[in-house]
Amino acid sequence: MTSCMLLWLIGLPLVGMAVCIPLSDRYSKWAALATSLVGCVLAVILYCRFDGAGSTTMQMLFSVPWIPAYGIHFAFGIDGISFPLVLLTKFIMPVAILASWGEDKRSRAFMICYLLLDAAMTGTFLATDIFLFYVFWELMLIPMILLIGVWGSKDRVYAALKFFLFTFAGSVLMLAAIFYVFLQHKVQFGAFTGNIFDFYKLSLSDGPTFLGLTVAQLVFIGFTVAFAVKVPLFPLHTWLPDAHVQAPTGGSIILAAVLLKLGTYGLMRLSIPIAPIAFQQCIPVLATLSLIGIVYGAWVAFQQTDMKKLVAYSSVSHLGFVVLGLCTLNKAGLTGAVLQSVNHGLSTGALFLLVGVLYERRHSRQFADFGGLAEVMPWYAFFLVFIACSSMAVPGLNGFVGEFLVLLGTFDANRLWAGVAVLGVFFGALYMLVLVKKVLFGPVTSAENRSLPDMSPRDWAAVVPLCALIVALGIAPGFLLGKFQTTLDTYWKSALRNQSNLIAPVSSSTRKKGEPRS
Amino acid sequence: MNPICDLFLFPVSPIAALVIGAMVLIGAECFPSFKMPRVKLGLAAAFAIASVVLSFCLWRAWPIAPLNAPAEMRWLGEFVKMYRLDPISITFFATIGFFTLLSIVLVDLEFHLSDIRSEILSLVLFTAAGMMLLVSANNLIMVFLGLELMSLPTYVLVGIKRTDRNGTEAALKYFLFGSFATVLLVFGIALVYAQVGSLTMPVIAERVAQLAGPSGPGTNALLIAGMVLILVAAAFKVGVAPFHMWVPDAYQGAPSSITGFMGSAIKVAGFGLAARILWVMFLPLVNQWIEILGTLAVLTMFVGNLAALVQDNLKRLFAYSSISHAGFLLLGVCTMASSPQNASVLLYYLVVYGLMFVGLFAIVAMIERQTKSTDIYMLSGMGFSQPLTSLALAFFALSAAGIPPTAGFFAKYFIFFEAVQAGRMTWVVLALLSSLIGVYYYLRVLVYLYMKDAKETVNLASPQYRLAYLCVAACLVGLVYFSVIPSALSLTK
Repeated sequence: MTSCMLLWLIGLPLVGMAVCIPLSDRYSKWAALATSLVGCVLAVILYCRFDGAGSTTMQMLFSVPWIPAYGIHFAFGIDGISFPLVLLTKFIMPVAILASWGEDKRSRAFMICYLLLDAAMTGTFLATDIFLFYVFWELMLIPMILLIGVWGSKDRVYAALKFFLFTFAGSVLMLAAIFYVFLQHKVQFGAFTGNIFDFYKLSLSDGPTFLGLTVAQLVFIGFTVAFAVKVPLFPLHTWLPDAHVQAPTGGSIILAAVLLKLGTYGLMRLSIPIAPIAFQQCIPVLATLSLIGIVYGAWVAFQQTDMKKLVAYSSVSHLGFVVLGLCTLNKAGLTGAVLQSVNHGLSTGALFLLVGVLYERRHSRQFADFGGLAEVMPWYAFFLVFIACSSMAVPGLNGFVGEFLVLLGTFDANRLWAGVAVLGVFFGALYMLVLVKKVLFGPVTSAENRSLPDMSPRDWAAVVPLCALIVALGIAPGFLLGKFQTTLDTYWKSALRNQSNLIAPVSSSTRKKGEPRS
Repeated sequence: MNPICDLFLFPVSPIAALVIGAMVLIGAECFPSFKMPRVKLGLAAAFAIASVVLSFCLWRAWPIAPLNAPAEMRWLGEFVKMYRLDPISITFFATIGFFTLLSIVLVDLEFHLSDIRSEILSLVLFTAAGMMLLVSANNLIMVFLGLELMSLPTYVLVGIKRTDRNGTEAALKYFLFGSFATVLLVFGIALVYAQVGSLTMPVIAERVAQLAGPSGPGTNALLIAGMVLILVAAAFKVGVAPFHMWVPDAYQGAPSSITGFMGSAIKVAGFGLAARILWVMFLPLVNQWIEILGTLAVLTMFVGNLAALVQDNLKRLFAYSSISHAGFLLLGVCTMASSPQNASVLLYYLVVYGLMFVGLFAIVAMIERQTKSTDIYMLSGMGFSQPLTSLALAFFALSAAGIPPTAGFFAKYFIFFEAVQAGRMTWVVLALLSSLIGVYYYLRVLVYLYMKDAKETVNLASPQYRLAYLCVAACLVGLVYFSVIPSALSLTK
């Protein structure tokens, strides 16, 4: 019974797709919305069934042999790392569909793309077979490139291709790493397997092979580059502003809320546990890149004149915090990283939603075209300020809990990093306030803006659930933390420390944990 | 003793069906009642189906035996030594027969041209018979015969649009290159014969093993040269760089349905031949050829994928894409050196690649017939005016690009993984890079289909395309089937 639960999470959007195909544009929207709402109900059921405290391994397993010659299974499972992200995916889907309700151009195909994307994202989170993970990982690209390329704005084709090629380039490296670990498992244990957890047991050689890098480091880099593109980590982030700016509102919401999380999820699920030694060796690099991302993303966001670009760069900055949390290698940092993934999904998703609300009315995202909207659209102003506060990590809202935990962990690991990261928090407040000020306050400069209607019932329906979750996570994050805390404890202990030659230096909690070691 | 071989002619029945079919069709030209192309098409299709069915019967009747155990055929007397039947040749029979069937169905699209008559059908059947001889040859003379029986009708097929300038130019080019390849083949055969004194493959294999063995006198340059010349001839036929120059012209100039045939069935036969030559005869010399072949494979991928980036003609674009696929397939041939079981990996790639190639060219053929053009701009806006056809085209293109979850991805994955297992990580990394380059031009197809606005809408909904759609549907179903059950083509019984 429970094993079918996960299949339903993936299969439901596919069923929805099948329902949409014969329907007209108008009804397919309703069918997609209904599917995504049923998905939310399933997510709630999942929340009730999921045993967060007791079980530390994969739950609700489902497994069917797929390619026996290579030990590849059609296998799904869920644990505390994937659980919050699956919930996030399911809750963001209806919001994205509502945000795209006004999309009249070929809305049936649009909805089909959404549902396919939903299935692919859920499948990526749930897959426990590395091959299946890769299949779902790539499957996401196709609906996403169509969403950007067909329904995007002016330079959509450029943005879509850039998005695809960046991600695909990363995936190709990941594939090479997958080949290698597959073979190593056969060599070391005598059998092929696709099970991700079997690869954790591999001991990868740490002798130098290529350009002075060890095999383990090469494997780590192979996986990590793929995920770093998705996150996106600093030098690989250039596709993100293009994709976000060109994508339709709903596409941006999904992209920011879920797709980017797949990068950090992949780091936690594959990169780090498969090559833990290499990860620890690479921590200085990763941490530096994420710190650059935090500060640079925030600074560039501060310079933007386009609302969507601002939010896009803010994502670079926020995701830097998540990766930094992973680099701290301590409990607070890891917990903060997972929580911050969810937080960013909620608040950035809501920000894109609100930018979309304005774009729908005014067909512009430039600051120059706005100003003084607080007078015209009071409720809109309320929500924008509210979400901006969440993004700025104002205490009482979700962003504060996540960012605080990450900074706590960082402070414990390396004070210099913490100092730089706090700079990012400062800039974060700066650009969000700039956004709020330039859009909402001041005099109404443009005559067109005088007649803008305030939030419609559809907008309310999309934004209120997000706000509710933002408050809930801010005041009582325990309802979610409790579900993944146990898994994270085990993850932290087993995946990072069970490597015999590593235990001693890392587990002594008195010293700085992020130091490189050779 | 293999019991099925006691049945008279049963072991050669798939080839016999095609040859008889070709003869019957030539004869049918004499009878006025058979003048209708559709009837002849049905006849040709029936013989192709018979060939496929007989191949399956052979496969069913085949006892559980190692992959490389050939059958002893009592009825056939001396012919035994010329012909080799084993699970690999039987599966290649079925594959070739199936692609021939698909191409015959597609040829229906060409009959509206005044200079295409029904002899095209018998030519296709002859070609297919030649391919089957090629993949089951046990003797170098049979290789030569098979290659010629395959090539000569193909030259005619490429130039069958007699009044078309591109077609005749393509046919001439193909003929000149092809006959040059044949010359090299014959010269190679002569050199090998001079060194080992036999034309029968197993005997040659024995002698080569003796020569190259630890106690043997070692190989000499002439034997190696003979092997290389035979391989070069095979490389010409499948379009491996640097012997690929004829491919874009021939593929562009030929009628689209024939291009589909050449891209699928001839590749199957050519790689079947290459695999057989290397694996049956020259396995002891593996150290001499594997580096050359691997380098050629990588070169071919890059040449094909880089050249395809700048093509605006769909036929030329997919011709270059087929060159890059020849590179991946050659990598598959290399992996067979480490284990003959990898024949199933090669076969899986060939089948999947053939299905997507025939499917692509079925749609290209419809567009060509409708608009008299195969320019990529013709696809603009088709995605929403012809949703199902475009979806199929997009699916084939994604499959060709090797993007999961299409069967093309699995095919690449298996070959790459086997290459990694054979210790060829460098080649695989290069192959991955080249697929990364290749993705761009497959995406262009998607971009034109869905992201460009239509200037003129191509309408492909017409009853005259029914058979072509049947072909597209067959390819689609096949590809979906092979992506859901990637282990379907395992050769171990």
